[in-house]
Amino acid sequence: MFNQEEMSSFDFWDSVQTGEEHYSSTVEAKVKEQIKLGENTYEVEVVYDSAEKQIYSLLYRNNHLVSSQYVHIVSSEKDFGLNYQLQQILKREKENLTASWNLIGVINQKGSASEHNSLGLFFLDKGLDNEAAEQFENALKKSPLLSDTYKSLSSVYLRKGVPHKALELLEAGVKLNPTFADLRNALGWVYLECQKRKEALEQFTMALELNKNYAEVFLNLTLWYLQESANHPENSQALTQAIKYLKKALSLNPEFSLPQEKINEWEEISKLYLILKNRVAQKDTSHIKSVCELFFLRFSYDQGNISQASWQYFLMGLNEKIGSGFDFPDLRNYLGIGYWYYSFFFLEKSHAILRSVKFGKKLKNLATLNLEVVDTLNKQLEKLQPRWER
Amino acid sequence: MIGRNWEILENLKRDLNSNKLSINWDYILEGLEELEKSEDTPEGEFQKACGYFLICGYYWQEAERQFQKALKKNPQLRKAQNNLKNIQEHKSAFKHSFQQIEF
Repeated sequence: MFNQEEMSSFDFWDSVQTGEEHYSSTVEAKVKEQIKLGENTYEVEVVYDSAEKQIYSLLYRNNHLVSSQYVHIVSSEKDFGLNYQLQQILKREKENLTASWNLIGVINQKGSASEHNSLGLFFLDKGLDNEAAEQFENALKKSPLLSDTYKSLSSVYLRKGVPHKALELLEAGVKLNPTFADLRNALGWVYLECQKRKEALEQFTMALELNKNYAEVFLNLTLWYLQESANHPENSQALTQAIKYLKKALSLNPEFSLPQEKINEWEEISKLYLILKNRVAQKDTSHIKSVCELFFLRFSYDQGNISQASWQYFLMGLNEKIGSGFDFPDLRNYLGIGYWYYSFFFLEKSHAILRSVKFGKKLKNLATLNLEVVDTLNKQLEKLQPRWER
Repeated sequence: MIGRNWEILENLKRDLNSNKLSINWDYILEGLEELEKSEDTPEGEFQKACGYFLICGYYWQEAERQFQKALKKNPQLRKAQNNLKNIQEHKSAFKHSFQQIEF
């Protein structure tokens, strides 16, 4: 049996890939480019790791690695050569980074709380913690009830190694949003990291009261009782409770079937817990969501710089993500909005032709009539624009 | 080419005005591709403009379909409910504009 030190929450939680892993891997091909944004120099590097047969995008700020992310190749680009693929990815990564940087000014000036949050999510995903924190803090200043933002900002504080700030923030967030199960779960997790075990249990229990099918809370409770059992081996009830919550978590995950034989050993339970926790991490959609948020922000504030090809690639990526086992309702909702926005590229093209081409006698009247239809529709659509919910 | 393009536009418009439940993207995108190959003449450009306008309707249908799929997975998802409501409230206006386009 492990002792308490060996099973710290950080060991269990460590499912996030760090950039350092790629230093030691076999990098077969890479392309990179520097961008100067404000006071900092950023370097985007796209590498093909032949050992893993994966492409990763690495971001450096002033020569320090800040993030490393797996890049999915969309099916339409799979048949192209590796160099072409790497160049295309580099181009898009650079475009997104530059766009996000340019959005800071406009969002800080006239963005809503949720737009600050959207931009913050992109920076958070890119490992740009200071930029993310600034946006989340602005979001909370504008709307203290934005419950998701508490969670996002607290994860920045955790990454920056200031758990007490994460704790203070989440406590305030829970006070304002007491019925938000996600926030209670996040607070419980930070309590656990800060060794405030009693408070952690309280939050997990309350999160479960608010959402009875909250798989992640069942897992966190499994961990809590596993730790309890390790700390107090004489308490046999703790292990029984860990098994109970693990079974609940397993039952909510359709890809897993409950083991036929009885599970009762600490090691067995902890192994299953780790497998399930890893599975939950693999199902994480924060990266694709952050890209969606960036694109929708760009649609509102940076339309002149988005090409139709970029939007098409974004939609293809999202569509393929959904098709690869991530068929989640919120991603479908993003895709719906994405298709809607995509149509504007065509509407604009139609409008531009009808307005500028010199049509002969035969088509002139039809073109004028059609232009009126396009204009009227466009006006209607503009009114709809702020009503989309993501 | 020009004659074939009028046919493509007619087909796109007819489909949009019918109550087709599924979208055959291959057929639509091939049609659009053909239109884009049109000669650089006022007539060819006019056809492209009409094609671009009509294709919006297909993307809106696809958007509607995605909101419906989201709600099938989670009927309580309020944002998808509202987005679907948005699109359905304006559906008749969209349809009307596609009927108005003339070529």
